[in-house]
Amino acid sequence: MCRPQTSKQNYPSQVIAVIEIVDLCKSYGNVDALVDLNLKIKKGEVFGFIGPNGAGKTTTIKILATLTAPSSGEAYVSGYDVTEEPYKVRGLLGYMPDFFGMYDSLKVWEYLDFFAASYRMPQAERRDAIENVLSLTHLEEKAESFVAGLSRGMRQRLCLAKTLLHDPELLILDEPASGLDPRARVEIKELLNGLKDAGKTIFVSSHILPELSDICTTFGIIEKGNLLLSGSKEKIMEAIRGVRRIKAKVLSDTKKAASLIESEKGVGSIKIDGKEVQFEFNGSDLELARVFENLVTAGVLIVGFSEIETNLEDVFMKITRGELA
Amino acid sequence: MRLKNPVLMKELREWMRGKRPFAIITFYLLLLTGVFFLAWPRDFGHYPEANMGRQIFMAVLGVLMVAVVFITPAIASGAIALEKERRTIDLLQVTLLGPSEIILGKLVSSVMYLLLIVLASLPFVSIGFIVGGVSPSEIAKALLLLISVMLGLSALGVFVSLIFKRIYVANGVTYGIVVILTFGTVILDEVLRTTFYQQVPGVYLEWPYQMLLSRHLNPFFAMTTMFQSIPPGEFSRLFWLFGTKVPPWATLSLIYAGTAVVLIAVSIRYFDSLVKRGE
Ligand SMILES: Nc1ncnc2c1ncn2[C@@H]1O[C@H](COP(=O)(O)OP(=O)(O)OP(=O)(O)O)[C@@H](O)[C@H]1O
Ligand SMILES: [Mg+2]
Repeated sequence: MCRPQTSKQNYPSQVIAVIEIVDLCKSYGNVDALVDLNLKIKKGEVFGFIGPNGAGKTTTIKILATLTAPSSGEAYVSGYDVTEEPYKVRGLLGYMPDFFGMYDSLKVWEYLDFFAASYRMPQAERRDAIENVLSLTHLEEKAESFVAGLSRGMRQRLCLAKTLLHDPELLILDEPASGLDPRARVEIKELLNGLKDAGKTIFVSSHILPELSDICTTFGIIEKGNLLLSGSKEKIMEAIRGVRRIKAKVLSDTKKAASLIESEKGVGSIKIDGKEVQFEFNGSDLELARVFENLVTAGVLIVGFSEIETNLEDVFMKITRGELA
Repeated sequence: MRLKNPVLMKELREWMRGKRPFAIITFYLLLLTGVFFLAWPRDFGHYPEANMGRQIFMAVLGVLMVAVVFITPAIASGAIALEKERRTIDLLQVTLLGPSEIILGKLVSSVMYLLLIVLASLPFVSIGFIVGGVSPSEIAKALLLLISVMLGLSALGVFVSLIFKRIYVANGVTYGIVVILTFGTVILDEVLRTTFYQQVPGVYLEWPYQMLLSRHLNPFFAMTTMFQSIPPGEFSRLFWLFGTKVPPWATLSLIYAGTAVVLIAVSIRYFDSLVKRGE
């Protein structure tokens, strides 16, 4: 549980991670928003931070962005402690909040110029930087428009443009696509893909998994302040491999096939669906191959034999339903 | 002109685009013109010229002080509260701007706006000056007093807006304090006077610290007593502060400017924890 830190971690460790979170806790009154969070994100990673509403995503992000003080534990950005050296951290990261307002009476370029100045960019460099982020976010022709006149999607892009102004190595984006229509979502996704290719480290949160599944390299799944699982997509799939499901399509004799399969080692629940036998399998690939071989030698005519693809969404639902410890 | 403080630059841009600042100045100038003509003497023959210039001058400064005292809270108390209410504060905070730049940017923009009001009044003041009866040193004193009050109340507004999340609360609290400083001090002084007088039955004993609160806190009191010639007997009671002879306008300027410095220092020093209050 959350205890005040007694001894400080020895830092830096061998390789400085872009983000390192150590036993991070945050409570609001008696609500534990974060419980002993540990996380390490390396340079160039695109980390998808997934969790349902109230899981603690925004809390984590605000701590990393130096806006909220943790109750205990530590968080580092490129080796700088977020509570001890907030200004170092602020210079290194670009932060886009889940909800934000803008200065409506400013023009788009004035808005960006204000932030460029606030990040201490010399006046001579600001113009290029502003043009650069405007073209990245496809807002060039809006430069002279007032912020008040932008659509929701444009505002979101303008905020992203602001986030990229000082060319931070780390981007922390809190549900950047929330409230957008499907087209605008795709646009944001494409933008993120471009940034990923440019080598940025990205920490992006969402409560919808498919939104992130193809751009992220690693994931963390959080619920009620607890990080349930983290790692590469493969690793997360691996974690549920124990319950992978196989379907065998046979030509005839479905009953015989089912009873044969049931007698095999590692087979869990089994169900017959027309000419298909579906079963849960908890074993290695070799053992699975043996199941197939035994069916063939027993004379069962097999038309198809394959794994039922489990997508990340299923994993997410499983994990958050507590089916996986 | 290049402004080094991005917050100040942004504030000025926003002011320029808003309708309210211009509405306030227009209303103020109309009011000033009205008062000016009311103060303009109708029977020139009877008035010595010196008195006339003085009368105009006092009327204009009076209106100016009323304007400063009652417009400052409206402007300054929005400073940080507006950023919180519009949800722009987070983005502002994650930049490399320090608390001092944010606070001073807000404060200076508020003071600049008020100086614009003073500037707009200068033609009226100068007419009084041309007609005569006012010395340059009196104008300097009056300006010093005005600027101190401006600074004090602006710093108060910015500080209050740092503490409260909602702009109407920040507005209300600041106006509440201003009402206490103006009307409140007069009422409290009267309460003090009558209370202490009644405590000594039978014997007439005037409380020696009459107008204690007004003398130190009430900008209108300082402004009105500035131009009055008070008989020596009254003078001692009104102007002597615990044995020191300091005129109210000076005491008050010092108190307001000093409070401004303290409030600004506290706002900067405790910015991070104050801005997060109630989170
Ligand atoms: N300022 C606050 N005061 C009190 N409780 C808070 C505060 N901020 C967050 N919490 C609580 O902390 C928990 C985590 O909230 P958080 O905003 O981090 O969730 P989230 O994962 O971002 O959710 P969402 O998907 O809805 O944005 C919630 O139970 C929330 O009620
Ligand atoms: Mg959130």
